Amino acid sequence: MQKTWISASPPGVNSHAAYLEIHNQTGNAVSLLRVTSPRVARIEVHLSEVRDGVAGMRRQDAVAIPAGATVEFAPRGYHLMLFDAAPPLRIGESVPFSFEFSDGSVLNVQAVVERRDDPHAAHPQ
Amino acid sequence: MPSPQSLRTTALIVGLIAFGAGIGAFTARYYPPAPAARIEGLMWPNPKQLGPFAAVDQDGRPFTLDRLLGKWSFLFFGYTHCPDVCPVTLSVLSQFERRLAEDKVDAPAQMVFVSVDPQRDTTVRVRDYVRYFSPGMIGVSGTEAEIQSLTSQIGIAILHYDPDPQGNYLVDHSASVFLIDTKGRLLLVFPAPQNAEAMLGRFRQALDFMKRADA
Repeated sequence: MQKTWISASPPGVNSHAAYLEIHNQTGNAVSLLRVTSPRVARIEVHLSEVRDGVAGMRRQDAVAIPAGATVEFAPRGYHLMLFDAAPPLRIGESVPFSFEFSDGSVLNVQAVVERRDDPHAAHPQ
Repeated sequence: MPSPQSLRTTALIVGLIAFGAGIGAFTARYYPPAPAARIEGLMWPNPKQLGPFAAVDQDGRPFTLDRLLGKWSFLFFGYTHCPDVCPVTLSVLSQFERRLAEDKVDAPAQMVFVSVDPQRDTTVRVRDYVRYFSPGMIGVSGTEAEIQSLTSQIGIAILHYDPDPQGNYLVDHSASVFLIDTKGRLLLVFPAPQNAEAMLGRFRQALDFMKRADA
């Protein structure tokens, strides 16, 4: 996993989006099933989509990652939704996560809370 | 959540954008030299004139039609609990605002965030939210009826989902940025995904076009 970061939230907002890239270097397709963190009460995988000019977020039960493929979690696309961190996440804080996959593997990753004014820096389009 | 249960349709997008595009296509076909057709998202020659509306700004003051007159207003509709699309778009608006200043674009402009979640987004919450992105950004809230007095005129789609057991809920909303001209007319739509440089280029084109078209 690469390019992990958590978007800092405006005041009063206790939900965050987290972004990363997952490279499947195994020879088999796997699915991301669950993400947990001791710092965050609840984590969901969401996909932002714009359809007919309307932006919506859809919760994803699993994200398929084909063999050898990379799935990007980036602004306006897949992201992790972090709900109800207690105490609230601070800029600069490193947050541990566990990613559970369909082949039984678990990856432990850290992501830092950042404020990025230019979302395109993280997601060139 | 893939199959949203009872969707409450607060407002449905009207055919405004398609209508504008249709006009543009018509213009392009029958009046080939018209520069309007080359400016993507321009609603000319039929920009919708906004009528009166009554909402509330981030300081609790009335936010009404006269607040738009004499300025180029860039409106985005979203909600503070939206963690991905809204912060990204407001960051783009904030960059765009800085680029206008850097380039000394001679047009008074204002960035406006309008909450489509009146239940959770209080005036204070919206104030704190817009301040995070830009000191000058206007943050509009109000009752559902007040918000609707504006969103219904622009044709903003808003879909509120049922809350989960924790009380969280999602709201689908128009992803575009809407430019209201100095006369209170919906002139231009910037569809998602926006970026500041492209917006700047198209705004300059629109300004240039309007100098000639609307003299």
